[in-house]
Order: sequence, then structure tokens, then C-alpha cells
Amino acid sequence: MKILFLDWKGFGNEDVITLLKEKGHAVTKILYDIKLTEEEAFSKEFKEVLSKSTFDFLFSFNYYPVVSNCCEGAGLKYAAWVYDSPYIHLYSYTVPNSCNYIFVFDYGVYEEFQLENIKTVYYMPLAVSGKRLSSIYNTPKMKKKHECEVAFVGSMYSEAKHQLYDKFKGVDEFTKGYLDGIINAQLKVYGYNFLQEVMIDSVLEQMQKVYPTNPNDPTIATPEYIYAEYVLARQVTALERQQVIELISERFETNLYTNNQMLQVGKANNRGKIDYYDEMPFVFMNAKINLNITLKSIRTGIPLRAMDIMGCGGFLISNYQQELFEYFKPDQEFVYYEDYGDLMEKTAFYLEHDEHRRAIAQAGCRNIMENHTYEKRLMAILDVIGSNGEK
Amino acid sequence: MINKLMIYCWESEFDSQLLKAVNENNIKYITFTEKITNYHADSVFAAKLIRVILKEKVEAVLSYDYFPLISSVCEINKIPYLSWIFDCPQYTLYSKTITNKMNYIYCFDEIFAERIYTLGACNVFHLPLATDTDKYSEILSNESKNNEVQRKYENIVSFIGNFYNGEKNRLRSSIFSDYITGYLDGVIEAQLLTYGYNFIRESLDDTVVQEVLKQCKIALGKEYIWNPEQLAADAVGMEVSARERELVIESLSNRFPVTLFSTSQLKKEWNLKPLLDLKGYADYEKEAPYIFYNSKINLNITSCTIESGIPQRVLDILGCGGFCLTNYQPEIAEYFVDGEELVMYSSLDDLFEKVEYYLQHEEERKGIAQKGYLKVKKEFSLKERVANMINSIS
Repeated sequence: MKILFLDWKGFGNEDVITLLKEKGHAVTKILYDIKLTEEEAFSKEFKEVLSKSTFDFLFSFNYYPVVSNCCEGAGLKYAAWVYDSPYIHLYSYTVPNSCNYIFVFDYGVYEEFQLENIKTVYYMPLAVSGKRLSSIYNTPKMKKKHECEVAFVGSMYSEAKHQLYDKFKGVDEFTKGYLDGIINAQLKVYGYNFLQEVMIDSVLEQMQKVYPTNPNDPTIATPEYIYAEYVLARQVTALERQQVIELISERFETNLYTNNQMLQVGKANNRGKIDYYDEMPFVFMNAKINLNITLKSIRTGIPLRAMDIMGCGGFLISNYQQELFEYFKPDQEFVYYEDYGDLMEKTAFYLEHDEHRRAIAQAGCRNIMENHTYEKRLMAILDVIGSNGEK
Repeated sequence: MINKLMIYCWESEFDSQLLKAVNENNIKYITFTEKITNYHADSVFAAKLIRVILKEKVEAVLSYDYFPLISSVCEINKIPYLSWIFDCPQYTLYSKTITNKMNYIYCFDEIFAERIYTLGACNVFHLPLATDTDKYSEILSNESKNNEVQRKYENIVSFIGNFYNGEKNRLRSSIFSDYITGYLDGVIEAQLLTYGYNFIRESLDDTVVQEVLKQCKIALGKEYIWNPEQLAADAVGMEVSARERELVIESLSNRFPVTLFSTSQLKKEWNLKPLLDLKGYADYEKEAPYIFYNSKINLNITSCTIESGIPQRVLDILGCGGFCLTNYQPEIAEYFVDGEELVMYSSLDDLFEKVEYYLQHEEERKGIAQKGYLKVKKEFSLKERVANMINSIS
């Protein structure tokens, strides 16, 4: 097939392009600036590319309304695999465009769209590049560099772009209390996100005053959604990651890999940023235990991080996430925690039981290689789109 | 084997059933009904109790709920004290006497049982409650022939219960700063949305705990183990229960005919609601069985502070052949088959859907009530519970 591939700086682009080419598909890249809001800028280039060749569909990671409108106009199918959460463009008015095949990895989110009868949104869990990961072999140098008891790779949500919560310092005392209350409550609950539902009118009003959601944006996302998923969920996760790493590093040798190199979190060694392709696999391979602490806006889905860890043969301890249980066997292919006490116990246990740990890591990796590779997903996506372009 | 059991009777509604169950186990017993004036220091009560124990050669004492003074007396006399907890929270369990070795504590709520064990109790058992199906089926078989009674107690949706909004709800009558009010509201609203898991205690940070205890004037004497987080959580939990019951009854009666049996102070506007029938007090022993049997749907809204256990209400409804629609509770899910022996709801929308559905499907509803009755008859018998308790004394 002839595939037009939207090129922006995201995870997985290279993996998928390589895979498609290997399967004999012709892939043409088209550059895209994700900050684009006007169609004109992209439309010109899009028309030019289309004039030179015909394509079966356009593929992108994540979903872009501008791209969708262009595809709709040209009658070209648009396959968009969304791996970010939250993702505001899912609430764009363009979502029902008939050219769209939007794949979301969080079943909880998919269900919301089903309830609204939006047929352009489908469910597709994330994946790893089976081929690339299975061809990475550990080296003594990498082992020495990255070996530790516990590792965490991820954002601590303390960076400037996430400091949205600080904007809310101007709200009234009641609202401050209310937000603190619901954040502390959500910290204790896994498997159910109530942040949107629990926003009462008076609290919303206060938040709109100090941080108005942009009424000009063509989106049907409600203010509750934006505040709950972009601000509060991040705050909850920021707290959880902070608390967990403080606790863990107090007892165990912990490496933290996060963009903000200056952050001191408990006794963890902050190693700063790590390259997704070149080095991250070695982190997972050489840490005895790898933690996954899912962002709260992901309701049931398995985050990419968890799949990366298992796909690299790493041992995974994750917060409870429903879909992990649907695709993987707990305590046989991964381990989960239900509260901090549980996490500490299991961390201590698995550090003491090397054989157990290795067996679980290997089993998890086998499952990923058999069932959760880009190869598998692309086949599924092509099935949905219809290989000859027909529905 | 216990040759002489003493039963402390103070809970008039359920005592006679307990005595009957003890009798059915062929255990010789006497009752003790002296009123207690102070849970730790009532020398008159203690003296009388010791005298009777010695005179009658009592080998063990049994009571619903926990009385520190009885525990002390039993400890001194080296006889077992069997305490069957049937309501949460129960602050007498924070008494320092909890570590007495002669205590045998049976708690109907698994999570609460864990806590009692953590407080230092030696012998703690999880023991779900029970109901007397004999008594109820007797009354019902007599009265089902009497149509007048039938008509009097016929209801569409009924609820018998307390709204926890009176004096005992100290949180509601206390004044807090805006911040603390907001914080508590946030936690309460979140808990109201969450079924099957109580996170109140874990969500309250130290400042909030201190404020709640201070404004609500919650304090325990020196005879008690001081447990601030739990006491604060229980106070907040009561407010959650109050709001939950108000919310359910208010919204449900906007759409469906609801009969409410409650002596609590209710909102004045409720008098004007056309579908809401306010019937005041219902005698639990004499009237409740008929209400349960003759209502199409019996609601159970478990108090928030009962974190996992099956409340007495559910068992009594089923034991009377009534159809029970209840909030989700972990132990209800464990012991009953949802949709076959009773029905559970896990959100307000779910509740509404199920009320509508089961009002329209009479045969199915009656089938479920029948299966529920058979389940409690078989697995929730008082006689067996008493046997369990006696057998567990080593």
C-alpha cells in the first residue's frame, strides 16, 4: 500500500516507518508542525504531495484536526493512533469526519465515545517494536552505567509547562480546600477517576476566573474535562510519583530518569533525561525493578512505559491498571501495587528473590513479543481501515 | 463446651432472637439486664455482675457490641467474654481493655475486624450477621391471609432508616474555616461517587484531622487508646452517610413513589413532594417484617462507616421474603449473587435504572426475593452463628 506518514517528533515514528517499509508498503513522509491551528499552512503542502502521488491512507501518531480536515476534503482515509492522555483534540468538532479512523488505547476513553455514538473512534492498545527491542543486547558498559535496585523513567510533572496548578493560587479558600481534598482522595483510589465528576459549579467558577479555558478553541471539551485531566490529574500523579520515589529511595538504591535534572526527590539519583531509542532499553534491562506510576487521566489503559519495560525484558511493578489484568497475568508476567505499603513489601520481596523476578520479567517479555508488537497492531489497524480502501 | 452462658441483654430489638438461638444450641443460659451507667467505672454494675457470675457458675459472657466493664470483669474471673459487633463505628473498642486475653471479638465487617486486631485484640474473628427466618415466616404466614395488613404496608419503594443528621453528626453542626470546609466537601463529594471503598481516613491530612477533632469536640477519656485519624474519619463518614441518604431519597422520589419510615428531622420541602410518603416511626419487630414483605422494592443504603460488611438491614429484608436493592458492598458481593438473590447498584444512574426495571418486571423481582430468602435461611442462621462463636473459644 501507499501510505502517507505524518512526520512530527513523536515516539514510535521510526519503528513504524521501518516496519511498514519492511512489509513492502511505500511510505512517504510529510512534515507537520503540531502547533498548527490554521489549515492553510499545511493544506498547501498536503495538496502538493497528493498531486504527485495517490495514497491509501494517511497515518499519524496522535490526532490532528487540521490534518483531518485536509484528508476529509481530499477523500483520503486518516488513521490516527493516539498514545497521549489526556488528549484534547479527541474533543475537536472534526472527530466525526468520515475519513477518520481514530484509535485510542484507553478503553475507559473509548467507552465514552461509544456512549456518545461516535463511530470514528476505535480501541487499540499500545505496542512496542518487537524487532528493534529483541535485537538490543546488554553490554557491560551499559550494565555498569545503569544497574540499580529500582528505576523510574518519567516526568515528575514539575516542569514549567506542567506548573499550571500554581495558577490556581488565586482562587478562594474554599476552592483551595476543595481541590486539595479531591486530590488527596484521588491519590488513594486506583481504578476510578472521579476528578471530572466531582467538580461542583462554585469551584469551576473560581477556576475559570483565574485560569479561563479558551472559549475560542473549536472544541467540545468541557472546562471540567480540561481542569480535571490537564491540571488535577497531573497534580495527583505528581504527588504520587513524588511520594513513591521518596519512600522507595529511603530504603532502596533508586535511579530517577526525568527531564528535570535539577530535581531532588528523596534519596534518588537523578540521572536526568534519557533517550527513548538509544538508552532507555538499557535502563530497563539493568535495573532490578522498574516502576510504572500511571498518569491518572489514563483510566484503564496500559501506558507505553509499562509496555516498554516489559518489552525490554525489564521487571515491572506498576500501580493497578485494569487493562494490565486483561492482557497480562499478575505475579507471573508483571507485579502490581494497591497502596504504598503494598509497594514497599513487594519491592523488598522481589529484591530478595532474583529467580522469581527474572522469571516474571521473561514471561512478561514473551507476552509482549507475542501479542503487543507494532506488527500485530498494524495488521489490526489495516483490518479496520480495510486493505483495499473500502469500509 | 459451655455449661452456663450469661447473655447481657441491652439491645431490645434483637435480644430475644439471640436467646432463642442460644437455646436451640442446647446451651444453658441466664440473662443479665442491669443498666450500665459508665462503660469503664460503674462499681454497682460490676459488683452485681461478679456476684451473679460466681453464684450461677457462669462460664462465659456474651453480648451484642463491646462493653469494657464486662471485659474487665471477665478478665479478672478468667472467663471468656464473647462480643458480637454489629455496628460500625464502635468507639468502646478503642478502650484499653481491648487487649484483655479473655476477649473474643466477632466482627461483621472484615475491614473493621482487621483494625480491631491492629489495636491489640488477641482473638478477633470475622463473623457476618444473621437473621431469624423462622420468626419472620411465622408472622408472615399468619398475616398474608389478612388483606388489611397487606394494604397497610404495601409500598412501591420503601426505606426504613436514620438520616444521621441529628446531634450525633457533629461535623454538620460545627463551623470550619473556608479552606477546611472546602477540603472536607471535596473528600465527601469524592466518597459519595465511590462505591465499595472508603478512603476518608487516608485522604485527611494531619491539619484537617486536628481541626475536625477540635471543632467537633471529639475526645476520649484516658481509658481509651487515642486514634485521631480514625475518629476524624468516622465523623466525616457520618456526614457522607447523611448526604448520601438525603441525595438518594430526594432524587429517587422525584421519579418514583417512595415511602420513608424515619424519625430523623427531614427537609421541610419533602412534605410537599407528591411522590414521597413520610410515614415516621416503624416498629422494627412488629412492623418492619410486613413492610419488607409488602414493598415492591426495599432500599438499603449502607452507612459509609460500614466499609465492607453486610448490614443487618439487608439480612432482615431478605429474611422476610422482601426484594432488596442495595448499594454495592464488598461482602455483599462475596456472599450473594448479584441479580439473583438481591440487586446491587454502584451509581445513582444505576439505581434509577434498576428501580425502573424491577418495578416493571414483577416475576423476576419475586424470584430474586425468593432466592434471597432461601440463601439467608441456609447460610445466615443465628443458631449457626452462635454455635460458631461457642466453638471458637479454645
